[in-house]
This record gives sequence, structure tokens and C-alpha cells, in this order.
Amino acid sequence: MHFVRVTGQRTALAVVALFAVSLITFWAVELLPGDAATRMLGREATPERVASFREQMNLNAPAVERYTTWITGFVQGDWGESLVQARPKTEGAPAGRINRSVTDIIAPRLTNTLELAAFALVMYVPLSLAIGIVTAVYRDRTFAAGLSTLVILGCAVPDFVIAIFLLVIFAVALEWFPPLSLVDQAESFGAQLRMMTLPAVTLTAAMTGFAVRQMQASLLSVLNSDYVQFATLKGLPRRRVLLLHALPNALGPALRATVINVVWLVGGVVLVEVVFTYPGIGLLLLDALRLLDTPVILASTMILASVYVLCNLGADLVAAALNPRLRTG
Amino acid sequence: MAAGTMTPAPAGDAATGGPAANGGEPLVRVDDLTVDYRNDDQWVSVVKDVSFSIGRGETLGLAGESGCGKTTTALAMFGYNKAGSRVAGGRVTFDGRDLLGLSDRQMQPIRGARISLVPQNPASTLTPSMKVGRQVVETLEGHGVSSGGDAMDRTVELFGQVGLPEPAEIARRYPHQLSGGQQQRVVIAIAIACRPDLIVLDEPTTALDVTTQARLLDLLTHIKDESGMSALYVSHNLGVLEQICDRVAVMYAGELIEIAPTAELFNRPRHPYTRGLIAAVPRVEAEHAGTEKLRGLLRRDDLPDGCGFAPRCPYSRPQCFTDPQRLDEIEPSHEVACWRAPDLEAEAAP
Repeated sequence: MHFVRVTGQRTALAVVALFAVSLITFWAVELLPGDAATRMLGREATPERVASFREQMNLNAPAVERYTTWITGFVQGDWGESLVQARPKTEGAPAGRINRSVTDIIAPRLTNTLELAAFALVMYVPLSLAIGIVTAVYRDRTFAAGLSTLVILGCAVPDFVIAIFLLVIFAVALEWFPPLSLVDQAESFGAQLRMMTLPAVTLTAAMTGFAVRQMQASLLSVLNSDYVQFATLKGLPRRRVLLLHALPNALGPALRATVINVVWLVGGVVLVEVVFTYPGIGLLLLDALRLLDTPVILASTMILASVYVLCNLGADLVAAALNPRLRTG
Repeated sequence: MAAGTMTPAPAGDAATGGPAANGGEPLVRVDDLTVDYRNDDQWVSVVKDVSFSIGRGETLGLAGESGCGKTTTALAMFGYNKAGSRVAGGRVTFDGRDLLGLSDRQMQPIRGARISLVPQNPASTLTPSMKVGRQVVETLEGHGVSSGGDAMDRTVELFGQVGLPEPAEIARRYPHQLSGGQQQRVVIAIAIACRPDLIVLDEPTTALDVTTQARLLDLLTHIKDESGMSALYVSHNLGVLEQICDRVAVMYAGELIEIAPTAELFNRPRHPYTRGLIAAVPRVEAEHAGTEKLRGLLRRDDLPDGCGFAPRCPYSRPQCFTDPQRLDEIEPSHEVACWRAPDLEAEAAP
């Protein structure tokens, strides 16, 4: 009833937001100087070649028409073809270029990025929860203060600095990990994990600080609450008070922090992928932007934006599930 | 002593094997309790040298304005310091044991089982994420009183006892689904679940509307009469204390300034502050109409070395600002911390 209505409203809003993202992205790419033909063929290309490329790729059509064609296809699941990436098999075929479909290009890249994000999240969630709880519960001890200082340091240092720092120490000086994370060329799962470690650690380090501080703050306020005091004065064991009375009520704000982090991941992953040459969707987006490959740019942007929108939607629903006040109305 | 000490005894039973119920060792003795709070880098005493006792089956009222140290004193019964506070001195002896020397772990079997609390604000006292029935069950189970289905049955029974309608149904609800009065009844059910010897009531009705207040006071009086447990009733509302307490202690700026049996205190208040407090109680019959009402507010940052009340006292003399006042028994079981009390008595007489 109330819950269902709110869910419906949120979903409708999410669709509107995604539509707006596609519009803005398309027109932003239009505004950039040049097009795929000039970027792809370079300065030496003859005007005839450029013209025939534009003809082939339908780049001469008015922008509104090209956008309409794209969005119509997109909502039906047809994400179009890349303007610049040829399909490998048809190289010698005379009947013009047949380009790779955007879906084929994006799928492996998205898988790589999701694997990297999952790796980072697997480290991040228990780490930030544990550090957050320990620093809040043992706030009077010296080691907790030391840990908090480290966390603030992690918050303050930008992620690309962490990335370069890790590269210099662990890849260049110690040679424990490869400097390039070319996971598509990894021979074994172990090798792939090794390639993913440094980028994943970078992402984890960048996310953990913020989440720990949220967890700390919310747990501290809950630990000082009347109900935790009452549970203690009921004579319950400290562990029970912590696990059943304090934690469930402190997780809400920490969950929001995780959502903000996952959303941050959407952008952070682009930077980290570039530093480590990790073949994910971030690197793909950057390459596509260089060549003004509009369908790939649009599809990548839409995926990243969906993650953003879905995470916010999901967090609201999970928060509602955790909080009986919101659940039962 | 052996078997009787661990099981809470009904009224009168306390005498078995020990000294007589009223004349003998009281259940609680507080001696020179001093509690400090950290204020920036300094420790400030919020409770200073407070001493009182509570007999078995007796209800002691603790009165005073907000910020006078009532709640801090009440929490000291649990050997509990809020974050940023410390016990700087004194003893709290409960049934022969000094509680302030015990660790949290040692206090655990006493808290909730032998001494229980009903705090001020029911809306924030119950854990929001847990059904209220479970919050009672875990108390029963935690103290080994009963477990499983028995604990749930006992919970429903307790809910009936505190006057909750449809107790089985209410046990399945979350705190936010109950009214303030119902929440406080749940808290009272938790407080009496293990049949404690002492129940500490910290402004238990202040956050509720007047009708609910009256019903809860009736309930508390009833429970006390039935169970015979001792109570420490903390309130700023003298009218409430007059109804429910055997004796009343009055606190000002962290110190006890007067303590007497209820009727005696209300009929012959000796400390100027107590007089002011009583005069401030709204009444139909204007018997204290002539008494000075209280002026000003308690200012912790502006206390003289002598009597803390001196700046607001209509009878203060220069000495009041310099000479500390100690509780002094001016009549059997009536103690006052005011050197001018005898003069004032004479002044009021004609």
C-alpha cells in the first residue's frame, strides 16, 4: 500500500532520470568538435573517404533523427553498432564494413568491471564494518585512535594517488604484482586475481575510510542512546547488547554510506582502470570518447547511470526492510 | 542469610535470619557519593557527598530541578557511569555489597534482576528494531528466570499485570506501534519481570499526558504494595512524590539539602528551597500562599563556596555564601542542610 506506492514512484523517477542522462550525453557528444569519421580516419583522409564513412554510418542525418533512432532501438534492446570497431571476421569482405554490435563490445568489459567491483566490495564490506565497530566500541583505547587516524588518512588521499603509490611499491619495486592488469590475457584464475589485486585494493582503500567514519558515527550515537543504556541496565551481556540492540539500529546510516560508495565506484573505477590499464567499462568509455563512438559512449554511460540509480533505489528499499517503522507504516 | 539473600523477598520477610525489617540494615546505603562529569578538560562534580538509605519495602522520593543530579544519583544504583562521567568517591551498598567496586560483568546479574530501572522517556527506552515481547523475554532468559515458551507465557502474564490490553497481541508489536503509555507499561513489565528488590523510577511519568500519568501512578502504587519491593522515585514533581513516597529527599545543585518522612516534609519544610518547591506545586487549597515562591534558576556555573542555594534564597546572609552546609538532624529522621532553619521555623510560627 504505502510501501508499494513509494516503490512505484521511485521506479518511475528512475526511468525519467535515465532518459535525461541519455539526452544530455548525446547532445554533449554532438557539441564536441569533429565526429567519428574525422577521429577515425585521421587528418590525412581524403574528403571522399570521410564522406563515404559518414554516408555509411548515417552521420549526415540530423542529430534529432539519429537520437530518435538510437533511443527507439535502445529501449527495445537493440543498442546499435559501434561506429569505429569492425567485426573481426568480415575484414576482407567487399560489401562495406559490418561493425561490431555495442552489446558484443560492452559485455566482456562490463563483466571485467563487475568482477573488479565485486572483488573490492568483498574486501570493503567486512573491513569497514569491523573497523567501524572496533573504533566505536573501543573508542577510549589507544589502538582505536591509531586506527581512526589511519582511516582519516585513507579518506584524505585521492584514489589515483593511492593507485600510483601501490603501483610504485608493489608492482615496480617489489614486483609482487603486474603493473598492467590485462586480465583478458590472464592464463589462470590465480593470475587474474593477482592482476586484479592492486586495482581492487585501491578501490577498497578509497571507499573504506568514508564508510568507517559513517559506521563509527552512527554506532557511537546508538551506543549513547537510551535504549542501549536500558538494555545494559537490564543486565544483558555486553555482546548481546552490541549485536542485537546497537548494531541493527546503526546499520541504516552505514548502508547509505555503502550506497554512496558503490555510486562513487562508478566514477572511481574509470580512474583506477586507466591507471592500471584494466580492460573494464571505464577504459572502454574513455577510448570511445576519444573516437566519438556515440553508441558505445551512450551505452556505457547508461549502464553506469543505471548502477547509480538502481543502487539508490535498492538502498531505500533495504533501509525500509531493516526499519520496522518504515516497513509497517 | 544463605538462601534468602538471592531470592527477592516479599515485604516483612526480610527480617528472617537478619535484623528487623525497619530498624535493621537498610537495603541500600549511599555514603558520600560524588560523581564527576568531564567538562572540556576539567572534572566537575555533579553529585557531591550525597548520603541516604532506603529501607526494605520503603519508597524514597528524590526531588529537585532539572540538572540537580537526580538521574546521575539514580544511575549510581546500577554502578553505571554515563560516558564522560566517573565516580569520584563514596559507596553504594546494596544488600551488604559495595556496588561501585564491581565490574560491569559482576554487576550484570544484579542489574535488571535485583535492581531495575524505569527511565524517563519511554519512546527512546525500548530498542526500535526488536519486538517488545522479545525485549521482556531476553530479560527473563538473561537472568535465568525462565526460557523459551515459558518466558513468552510469563511475558504475556506480565503484560496483563501492567494493564496492557490484548497482551499476547502487543508482545508481537514493535515499540513504535504502541502509545507512550503502553510503551511505559512495557518498560515497567521489564522492570518487574525478575521481581527485583529495588526499582529505580526516574521521572517515569514526566513524558506522558496527565491522564496516563495518573493511571501509571496507580499501577506503580499497586505493584509496590503487592510486591513489597523498595523503590527510589526520582521526580521534579513534588505532588507525585507526596502521593507515592514514604520519605522524600530534596536535592539542589548536586547536594542533598533536606530529607524527611513525606508528611513531615510537606507539613513542615525547613529548607528555604524545599519551601519554595512546595509553594510551586499547584493546589486547590492555597495553604502555602504566603510562602516565597522560587526565584531564578539553578546556575551551575555560578555556585558560591557555601550553600549552593544562597544566590536564590530570600533568607540568605553573608555567611551562607562562604560556609558550606551539611545535612544535620534537627528532629528525629528530619535532616536539613541550612544553619538558619531554626530561625526560619520561628519566623514562620507566628
